This record gives sequence, C-alpha cells and structure tokens, in this order.
Amino acid sequence: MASAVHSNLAAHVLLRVWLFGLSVHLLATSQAVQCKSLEDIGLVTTVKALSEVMYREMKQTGGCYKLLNATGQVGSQGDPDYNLDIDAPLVHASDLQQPLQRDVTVLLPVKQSVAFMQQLQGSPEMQQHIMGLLFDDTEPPASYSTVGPFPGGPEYAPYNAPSYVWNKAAGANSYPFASSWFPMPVFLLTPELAADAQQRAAYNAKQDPTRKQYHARMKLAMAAATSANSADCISQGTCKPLGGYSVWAALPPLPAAAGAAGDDGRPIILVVAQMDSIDMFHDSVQGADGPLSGLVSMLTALHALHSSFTNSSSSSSSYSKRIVFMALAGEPWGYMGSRRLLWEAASGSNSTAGLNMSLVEQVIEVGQVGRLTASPAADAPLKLYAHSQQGLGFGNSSSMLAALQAAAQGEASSAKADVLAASPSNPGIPPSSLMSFLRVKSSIQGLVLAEFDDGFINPYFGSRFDNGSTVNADGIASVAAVLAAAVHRLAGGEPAALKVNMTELQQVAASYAACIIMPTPGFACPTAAAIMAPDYTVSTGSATRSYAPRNYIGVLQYMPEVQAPLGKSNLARFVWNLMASDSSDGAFGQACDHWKRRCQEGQVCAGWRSSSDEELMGRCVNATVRYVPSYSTRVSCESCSDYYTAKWQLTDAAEQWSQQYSWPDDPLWAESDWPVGVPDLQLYLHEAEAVEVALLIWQGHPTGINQNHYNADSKIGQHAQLRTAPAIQQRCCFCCCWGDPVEFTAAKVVSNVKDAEMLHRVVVDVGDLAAGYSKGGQFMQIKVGEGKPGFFAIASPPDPNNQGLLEFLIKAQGEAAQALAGLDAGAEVAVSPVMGKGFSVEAIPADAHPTVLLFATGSGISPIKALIESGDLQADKRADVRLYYGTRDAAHTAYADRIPAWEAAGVKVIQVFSNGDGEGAKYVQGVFGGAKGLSGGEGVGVVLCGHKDMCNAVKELVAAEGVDAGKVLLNF
Amino acid sequence: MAATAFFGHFFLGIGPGIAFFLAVIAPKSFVVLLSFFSAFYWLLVLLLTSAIFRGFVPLPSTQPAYAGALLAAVAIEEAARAGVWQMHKRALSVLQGMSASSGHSFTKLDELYLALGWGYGHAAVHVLFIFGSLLPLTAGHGTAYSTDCPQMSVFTVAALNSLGLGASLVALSVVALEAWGRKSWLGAAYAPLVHAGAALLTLGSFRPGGCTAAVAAQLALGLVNTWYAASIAWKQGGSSSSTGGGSTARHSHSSGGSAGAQPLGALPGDGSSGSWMAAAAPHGGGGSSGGAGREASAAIVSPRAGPPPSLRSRGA
Repeated sequence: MASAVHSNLAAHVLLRVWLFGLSVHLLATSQAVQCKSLEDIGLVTTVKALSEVMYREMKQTGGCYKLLNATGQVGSQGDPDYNLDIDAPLVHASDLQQPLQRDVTVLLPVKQSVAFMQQLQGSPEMQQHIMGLLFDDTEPPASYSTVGPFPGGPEYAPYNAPSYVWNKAAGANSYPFASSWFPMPVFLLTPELAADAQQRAAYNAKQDPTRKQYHARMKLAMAAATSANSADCISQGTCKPLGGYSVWAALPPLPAAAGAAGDDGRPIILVVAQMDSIDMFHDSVQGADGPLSGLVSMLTALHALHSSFTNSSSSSSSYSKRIVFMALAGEPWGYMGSRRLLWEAASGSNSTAGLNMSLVEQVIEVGQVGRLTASPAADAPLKLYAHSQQGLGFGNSSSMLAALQAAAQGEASSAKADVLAASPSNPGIPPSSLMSFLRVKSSIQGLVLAEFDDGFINPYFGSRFDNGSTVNADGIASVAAVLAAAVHRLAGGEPAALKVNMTELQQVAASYAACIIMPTPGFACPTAAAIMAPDYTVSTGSATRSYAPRNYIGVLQYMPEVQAPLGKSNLARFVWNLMASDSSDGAFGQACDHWKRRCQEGQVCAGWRSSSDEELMGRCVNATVRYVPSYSTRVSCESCSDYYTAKWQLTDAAEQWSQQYSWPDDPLWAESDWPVGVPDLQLYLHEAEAVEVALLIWQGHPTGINQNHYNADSKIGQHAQLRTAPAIQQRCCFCCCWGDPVEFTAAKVVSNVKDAEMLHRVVVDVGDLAAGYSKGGQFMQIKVGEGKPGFFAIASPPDPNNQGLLEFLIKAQGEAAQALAGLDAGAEVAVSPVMGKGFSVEAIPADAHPTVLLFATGSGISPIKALIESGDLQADKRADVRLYYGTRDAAHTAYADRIPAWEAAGVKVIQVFSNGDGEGAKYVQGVFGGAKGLSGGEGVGVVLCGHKDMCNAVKELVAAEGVDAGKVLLNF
Repeated sequence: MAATAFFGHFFLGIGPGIAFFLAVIAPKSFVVLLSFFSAFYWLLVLLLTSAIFRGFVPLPSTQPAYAGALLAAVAIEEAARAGVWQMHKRALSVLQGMSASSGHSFTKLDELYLALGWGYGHAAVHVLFIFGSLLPLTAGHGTAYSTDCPQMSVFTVAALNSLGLGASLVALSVVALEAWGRKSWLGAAYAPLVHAGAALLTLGSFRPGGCTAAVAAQLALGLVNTWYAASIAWKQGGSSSSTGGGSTARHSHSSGGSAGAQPLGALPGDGSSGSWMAAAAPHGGGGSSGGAGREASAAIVSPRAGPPPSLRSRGA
C-alpha cells in the first residue's frame, strides 16, 4: 500500500517536474547533455518545444486539393490511404539531377513553377520519382496567373475569338489551374516555412544522400482519389459540389404586396459584380483587383445613393426604373453564379421572386477597377473603360455610356474620372457575368466597367498574388461615385438631387476593402462587426483568431434555410446586410431575427448578430434583399436542410433550359472530401538508415555517425553548421511570434501621462522581458485583466540599462488600449515577450543609403521614435533623413517635445496635419508626393509605420521613384 | 525506422541499467524497495533543485553560466547525500540490530548492497530526466542534431551521457557511503568531486565536435567509477563484519549464527540464503579467490535454521 502511494506520489511529482522545462532538468540534474543545443536552440525548454524544433509543421492549410469536373480532375492528392504518409528527401528544383535516381520532394520556387510543371506533365520519370511539390512564393514573379488567356473560357463569350488574350498575365507566366493535375501532393508553403525549407534543401544538396537528410512528410489523402470525374464522386458521395450564395437587392424595394410576380412592372437596371476568385491553392485565394474591387465599388455606389437619399428629401421610390444590385458567387467556375441565378429566375424560385428577366433592360457590371491610378500626372483623371457588346441583336448601350460620361463630368466630377468607350477593335466584352445575361437576353443593354481597355492590366489576375497591396481604394471610390450618379440618372432620378461626397466615399470604400480584401482586419473590421457575427478560423496550435477573407467559393455541404444567415459565408452575409441597410429607406423597425421574430412581409432583418441579446438582434427594414444559391445546374440536393441528411445527386432538370440558350456544357465542379488531419506537412531531419540500424545492434560507431565527414570536408561541415543553426533558430522565432500560445507575464504600470489628445505615454516595468528588446520597431502584447491583449509598439529605445522599463504610446481606442490608457501608476498588467523583428535598418546601411524617409501617422510615431532615439538609424551619417509625421492637429501630436531632439540628431521633421489647410497637404503621402525631393530610388531607404492606406500610398510613391521594395522597412 | 531508432536508443541508454537491475538488484527484495525509495527521495531533491533554478532561467548562453548552474546543482545533490547518509546509517543500525537478534549475519557486503540501492535510485532518476524524457521523441521519424555535434544526434548524446553518468552515480553512492562509514573524509570527497567533474564534462559539447570526446570521457568516467566501487566491494565486502552505521550501529559480527535461534523462523521463506540481504550473494560476494572473499561468501551463505527475514518475505 505504501509502495503504491509512493508510486502515485512519485508520478505526480514527476509530472510536475517535467513542467519545469527540459533545460532546468538538465541543469538541475547536473547534465548539460546537449549543451550546445541549449545555446543555439535557446528557446527549447521543454520536450514539446524540442519536438516542435524537430518537426516544422503546416496543418489544415496550404494544400492543393483535388477538384473534379465533368471531364476530369485538377489539383493534387497524396496517398489515398490516410495512414500512409508520403515521405521523401527535400530537394530544391534547381538541384534536381536528371535522370532522377531516387524519390524526392521538390521545393519549387514559384518563378520556376511554370516551366517545371510543364516538364513534369510530360515526364513519366519525374512523375514516378517526385513524391511531392512544395511551392515557395518567397519571390513572386513579375506576373502570374492560374487562369488562361481567356478566363472562364471563350465558349461563354457572345463572340467567336477563342485565341484572344484578355488575361495578359497568362502565357509564359501561368500554368492554367484548370489543366493541372498532379499525382503527388502539392503544398504552398507559408513564408516562414519556405525560408526554412530553402535552408534545408541547401543542406541536403551538400550532403551524401545516404546520410541524414531533411525530409518532407505529407498527408493529403483525398476521398475521391479513385473518381475520374465529378459525376462519379457525387454519385459515390466522396465529394461536394462547389457552391456558395449570390446576393441581390432592389432599389427601390419591391412592394410588399406584389404577389408571386414580386414586382410592380418597373424596368430593371442590373448592377453586377462578382464575389470570388481562383487559385490552385484554395486557402490563399485573393482576388483583390479581380473581382473584389468591383464588388467594393458597387457596394460603395449603393452607399452613395443611400447616403444621398438620407441627406435629402428625395427617395428611390421616385425612380421610374428599379436598380438591382447583384453580387454573384462562383463566376470563375463556368459562370456558375449567373447561370444558376438565371435558371432559378426562369424556374420561378423564391430566391429570385421579383427579378423578372423580361423587365431587365440594362446591365452594368463592375469589373476590375482596383488598379486605377492617375497617369501620367498625379492630377490627371482616372481612365475608366466601358466595354459593350457590339453587333446585331445586342442592345445598344450608348445611352448608358452617355449617362456614365455625363455623371463623370457632372455630379460626380469630384471623382476625377473619365469614362471612355473601350477600343472598337476588341472582339467584344471582356470575360464577365454580362456574357450570361446576354446569352439569355441578348437585347439587354450591357456595359462592363473596367480599368483596362484591350486586355487586363492586372499582372496577377486569377492568382494568389492579386492581393490588397496594389489596390487603390480612392480609385474604387471614384468609380463608385460615377456609377452611383449614372444609375441614378438611368433610373430616372434628378441628377442634381444626387449629392456625391467623395471624402465620405473614399472612407467607405477603404472600410469595405479592409473587410473583404485585406487579411487584417478582414471581417473583424468595424463595419462587419456592426452588422454581422463573422465566422473565424483558429490556426492549429494557436488561440489566435483569423477573420481573413477566404475568397475561394468553397463547397455546399448542405443548404439550410436559404434566406437565413446560417450556412452563408462571411462575404455573402456582409454583402447581404450592407445591401439590406443601404437599399432600405433608413427607417429601422423592431428587433428581429431570422427564425422566431421575423419581420413582416416586405421587410428584412438587417444587422442580426445574435438572438440572445436584444442589442445584437437585427432590425426590420423596408428592403428587398435575397440570397440565391450558386451551384451547378446539374446537381440537386435531397433533404438538404440538414447537414447529416443532405445528399447530392445528379439531375437534368435544367438540361432543356441550357439547350434553349446554347449554354456550354455545365462543368459541374466539385471538390473532394478529405479526412480529419488532412492536409498535413512536416519538414524534419531524417536519420541515416545505417545509423539507426547500427545503433540498434551497437557495433561501435557505425558508418555515418563517426566518419568525420564534416571535418574531412571542412567546407561542407561549415556549411552544415551554418545551415542547421538558422533553420532551428527561425523555427524558434516562428513559434514565438506566430504559432505558440503567447505566455503572458505580470508587469506593473510605472507611469501614465497624457501626451496628446487620446494618446498616453505609459511606462511599464516588464522586468527581465526587456532583455528581449533589441531593435526599434519591436512590440509587445499587453492585456489588462482578462481582457483581450493588444499589440503595442515600444516607444522607448532599446537600452540595456533601462532596468526593465519600457514606454508605450497608447491611443485610447480599442478594448485593450482603452483599458491600458485608463490605468494609474502601480496597476498590474500582463505582457508578452518582446515580439517582432523590428525595423531591419541593416538593409539600408548609412554608407549606401544617404537618404532615409521616415513616415509615421498618429500613434505610429511610437516605433519610429524608438528607432531614431536608438541611434541605429545613424541619421548623423546620412545626408538626408526626413520624418513625415502626420497627425490630426497639434493637439493630437504625441512626442511634440521630442521633435527638437530628433532634429538635433539629424532628422528633419515635417509635420503634417490632416485638419490643416489645402487638399493635398492633408496626408503625409500627399505632402511627400507633392515634393519628393528625390533623384531616383538609388540610395533611398524608407521606414513606415502608421495607417495602412498611408503605407500603401507611400509604397507606391517610392516604388514609382525606383526605390527597391526591399528598402521599404516595416516593423511587421 | 522509428521503431529501430527507439529501441536502439532505449537499449543504449537504459538497457544496461535494466540488465543491472535484473541481475543484481531484483533478486534482493529489500534493495529493490530501497531503490524505489531512493528514486523518490532523489526525485524530491531534483524537484527542489528545479524549483530553485526556476528563478534563474533562462540562463545566459555561456559556459560559465552553465558551469555555475551545474556546480550549484551538484552542490545541492551532494548536500542531499548527507541526508542519504543519515537514512543509510539509521537503516544499518536497525537492520544490524534485527539481524543480530535473529542470529543472522549482516555483512559488509550487505551494507554495500544498501549503498548500491541508494545509488541506483539516484541514477535512475537522472536517467529518467536526461534521457527518458527524450525517449518518446525517438519513436518519431525525425531526429535532431545540435550545431556543434554533427557526429551524434542529441538523443544518442543523451543516451550515452545517461549511461555513463548513471554508472558513475551508482558507483559514487557505494564509494561515498562506504567512505562516510569509515569516516574517510578523503574518500567522502571523492563523490562530490567526481560528480562535479562528470557534470562539467558535458560542457565539452559546447566545443565544435567536442561532444565525441565529452561523451567518451563520460563513459570512461563511468567505467572508472564502477571499477573503483567494485574494488571497494571486493576489498571491503570481503570483511566479515559490518562497520557501517557509525558507533551506534557497530557491533560484533556473528559469523555463523546459532541454529534454532531464529525468532522469524515462522515467517514464509523466500529462499535459502543465509545473508540478511537474501539470495544471490554468491555472485556478488565473489568467493572465487582469496581468503577474504571466501570468508565473506561463507558469511553470506552460512546455513540458517530458518528462512531469512527479508522484507519480501514479510510482504508476501
């Protein structure tokens, strides 16, 4: 009995001891077994941490999943047996030696990917020996696309020009995803993992393959592994059809008692935008310019109309025509969204009630408008091209073009945009949803508004590189202003009645873009938070929530009540709620939800977030807004309201309708199911087989252990050491910064002084954690009590003698910041370790970069101050160091008392007040853009911190001057 | 290959210890229990040490810092060995009294077996910490190498270090307790010095490629210590009377005992060994050569009228 008690107690104690960490164990037990490893993998303090160092993992993301269509399959798959991982040594594509003698996993830089994939498709030997492909996006090519020269396919066009190249990014720099099938697992590495994989592959390249090697281990089992096409897998229940929800709203709303027809006979003007994009890696689909810029523009235009009505006595009810705003989902997949919607309208479904196609007279589609920039001069008008379909039988859209041009010159003149007719040499309209509408009703007058004339100017159309960094929200707002004014005219509104406030529209467009284009804040943006409860993802091993938009349409697992928010994507709900709000008359009625407390007929429940709290319930508004399912017309779903009973099956219900309008064959896109735990990728060091065997039978130092091959070839040995250490260190950094749960430590507020309006200088005693602060630009997470932590850049410079005191500039905005700003000296907070890499000023050494431009807005001055005062910038050794410091006004300017000291240190401070006089002088980018004072980009470094729009604008300005992107430093 | 690596490291790092346990300790029930108790005791010591160190981590990544930590840990453990000595002394006193009253002999070799038990527990906990905690990772398909030790994986280093240090700790316990019993302060100083040396040896891994020499030295030190402890057993174990336990425990050895004077004769027996430690002593006593050896052997296997009062018997 006593023995048992002892055993239990011992086990308990042992468990506790383990928690103290491996390094403590080693030291406490008089062991420094892996002394050096403790030094070079200094953060390894537990067995779990060692395991994480051994295995770099990427889970639940990054796979190139298997898709199927009516004629075949695309994407990739691993071993169909979930329990059988694919494992092979990592080899960089540049190091591949033909003919291949062994199985390998290839690390493939995206720049080489097109040529490599073409070679792979034609080489059975490569397909046999290449066990996996890991894409490395570290260096994006100048242009890239995963769709062909005629996106969507020329067969959908109302003209015959199959070889016309709309997508100029296609060709040498693209490998159409639709024709890509890889019989091995394919992954897209995160930037951190890609950097690590590069080092591991370089290590392997220097080693004898029979010795230890870095391997990649992949799990990408696909349930539809044996299916040849989507019809097969849907029949077998191993895949789901691609699908989502389109949204439309009517302005003015349909009359409540319009009956089954749902309309009052007004002709309809359709304003259309698309909602999603495409890439071979679904988790990384972006689509910022194409198509989301168009969607943002359309929503902003709707807002402009709503705002104008709200601020005047007029209303949309005076329109002689009805404007229907429509966001279509699934268009990259054979125009699935518009095809389905037209079929639903033709078949009289509830989701399209009131959308009588016979009443549709005009269609304006807003295409790619995110890259509109003024050229050749900064004050030149934006050029917006209107594409129309010429030819007999097609509606004449000249009146629409005239309305757009009149609007641009009239009530929307502040948008500074010219609307030009697209080149008559074009074969017709560019790939767009308008093609679908013209197919069903060719007499429609249709226009596609776009930033391009005869071909896309977006070098990344249809790829994961089409991200928000190049999107110009002001340009989108200009398009919205012109669009709003034009449809107002077309609908019969009095032009003078529409008031366009460009400043407001620019803010609205930027806020919408932040929600649906930018990964952060994504749907955590204030606009979304006010109207919906967004879904989020939690990355494996981290409690961090991500609200980043996912612009891949996804699959329809089931279809709960169509007009309720359940089962709808964040984007669909965002669009629905915005449209509900902005297409209404602005009168908010009773609290409502979509199930029990429904609104009366003719109303919808806008802004519903929760039924448990009256405040979070929606409000009934007089509006017409509907979801329309978007999926192939060749499938139907039985018992589809329940997730567990839903069963998809093939149908030919739409066959006759498709034939009537000569639709191309429905591609019936579907995505394979996959088991839990897929996808999974590990990079790890694999011991030489001979070593393991020799260790087991122990015959002394076996071959491979003690051959001193490192010493025999000192270069190789040196290389190995150089390669392994950073690899491990980077892993540690990755763990701390992104993957691992953040460990918070108690700290005390030493002082809290209000320095400017809403800005507090808060000094916190963080104790030993201050030792981790080594470079200006680093930051910490701080939380008060059990509240959410906030990220705060450190304002004081790194100083080993600071005795643990760090200063932060806190803008009293947001939960954590407000709580922190309200604390008195002595209050306790919790702080994370110091995070981030800081500003990498070593990339812009003083001798080679005489000019450094610093840009800061608002509280963004905090890390800039740290950088200047750290001395790392060496401002006194440079000829031209300027700080553009933007704030609202003098009262909102923090650290004003430090400016003389910065000047004395060699930094010329240019203060910019956004409440100041003059249009161009309001923002730092405006001031800088007005007088750059640069003679080329050579020798220029840039440091940025502040508002994202400012950062993007400055990046573009300096890029235009020829400043290398690598010389533009951010602290994130 | 995961199983190959796991069993390879398992047999390398822990296999010899298990074999030693099965061959030498397992037959002696009291030593088995003493080993468990010792392990628990040392677990507490290491927990205490860890708790103290918790306030100092992370240490600067410098050799002096690690050396300081190692020496501090050794100092704490050696201080804890004084506690072992106290318990050892008390145990000897009780056991010698019991054996005297029961007519059994309590030999010097028995005393050394107790020291062996103490040392085995000490070593086992160390092995568990420095290697056992890592062993599950060897069951995976990956391995890990430190930058300056490309010759061996961290697991192989840990296995070999734990093997060498484990042997040293078992041996040092025998050496230390025997020396304390003799009040040989020179001998008593041997354990802390060698313990500290063994700990500091591992710092050799800091040097590029130094792990090979450090691990080899650790193994060699283990062998030397084992040889030294064995030589003590050979010499001291041959004596016919126990001198351990200090003055309070010292008593005259009753070489043969008197038949029929067994107060515990009614207890269930577990063997025919005449030694208090029960069984297996013929191997350890080494009666193959020399008079002393034969004497010890004779003492251990001296005939008894009844079974020995081993704790295994009592507990059975």
